[in-house]
Amino acid sequence: MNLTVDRITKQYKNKLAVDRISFRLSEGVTGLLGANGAGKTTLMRMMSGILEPTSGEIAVDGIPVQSEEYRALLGYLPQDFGYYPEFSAREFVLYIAALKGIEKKKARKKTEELLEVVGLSEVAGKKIRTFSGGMKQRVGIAQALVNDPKILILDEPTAGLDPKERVRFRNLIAEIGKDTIVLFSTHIVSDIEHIANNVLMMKEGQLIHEGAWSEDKGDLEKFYMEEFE
Amino acid sequence: MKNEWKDMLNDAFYAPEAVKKKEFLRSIRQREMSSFEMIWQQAAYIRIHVWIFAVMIIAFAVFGAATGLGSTQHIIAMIMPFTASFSVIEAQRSKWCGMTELEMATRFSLRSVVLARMTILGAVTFVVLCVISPVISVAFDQGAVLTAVRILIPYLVTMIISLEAERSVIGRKTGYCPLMIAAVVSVFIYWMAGFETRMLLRYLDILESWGILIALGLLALTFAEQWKTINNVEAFA
Repeated sequence: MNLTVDRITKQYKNKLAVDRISFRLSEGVTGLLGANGAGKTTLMRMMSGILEPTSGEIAVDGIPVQSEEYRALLGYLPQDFGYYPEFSAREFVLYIAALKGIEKKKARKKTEELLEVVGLSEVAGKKIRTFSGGMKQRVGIAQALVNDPKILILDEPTAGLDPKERVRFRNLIAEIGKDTIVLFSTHIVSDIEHIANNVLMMKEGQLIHEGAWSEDKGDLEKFYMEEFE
Repeated sequence: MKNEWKDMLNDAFYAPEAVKKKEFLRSIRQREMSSFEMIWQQAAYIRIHVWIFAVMIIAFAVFGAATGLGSTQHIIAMIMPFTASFSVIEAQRSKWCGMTELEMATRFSLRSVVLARMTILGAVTFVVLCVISPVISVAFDQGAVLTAVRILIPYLVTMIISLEAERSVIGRKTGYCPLMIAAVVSVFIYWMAGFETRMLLRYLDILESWGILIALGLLALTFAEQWKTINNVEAFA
């Protein structure tokens, strides 16, 4: 499976948030690095079909991003997301499962399984509004995985997680990345340097690095710091 | 004996490990969901106060008709704008709860979600109208159509203004804008009845002659506004 981003551009009045970016992703974890305002979120929102590009095309094996078929393959975790205040963690994941067209029985089973994976099974019936930031983020991760996505787009998924949760999450993503296209944005190099087979680096709306990062290229964090100084 | 054979066979031959079971399961296309199923599914997520409010209007109409409360129809006409505002707020709930991005990235998209909610809420109002109009009509010896029109017009006026306001810059920032609009429409109806009886009589005369046409015109405008809202819901998210 190949996810192709072809000369994608997003312009807001006279600001180019994303400037003619092209790349191709296949199964594995791709880390998307960039400082705040580099255009990571805009790019990910376009790849999730939420934002319409000014120009360019995005497709997975020829299936365009605007189609229902593409969205059926997608799992997405936005940087900030809300929830209906009356929802418990379980109800929230079940609601997203329903919107993804998953049958009730299967959705229930998958929800319980995922809440266990993210360590929330004991508080699954509690209202999300009572959760800490890290717990909410874990609910977000669970909803992104509920349809066994073939494309997983995670916008700053480790924000709000404590160091232990971060490591657990990284391991989970590495496992999922074996047979899924995972795009993982962060501005913390250590989040991706050990699990990403591919690294994309964005600066001022443009791609300044694309490809695998090998040790002979030097320290990724050092390179990143130099670029964003 | 049969079980013994079965156990022996089980012991002798191990079931092979599933090969690429996960990939196979993921490759199965999900079945299509019909529009009706989508609407039914969303109905479960409409908040309870919307249903309670609808039941209360019916209960009040029945109570008013049974006790001969003369102002029943007028009070219901004053309440209907709030039904409209609740409908607009409920349909746009994703926006106020920060769920838009997540709903947009699902298989059915935010547009389908809002369309399904609007259909349910419209159907609820239709049922309320179908129940209360004949009840009031029989109890107060009025034409059923005129009764329905009198109740429906404040609802539609509030709906049109609220939908238009929701898409404006101020409406997109103020969650309870439709409630304010409903209050203004409701107060206007109260004012017509309480202080300007002549005006109310004139209004009823107009409704008698042109009521159906006015209601149909407003209904067409409501559909047009709903269409605009649905088409813009993802752009404004």
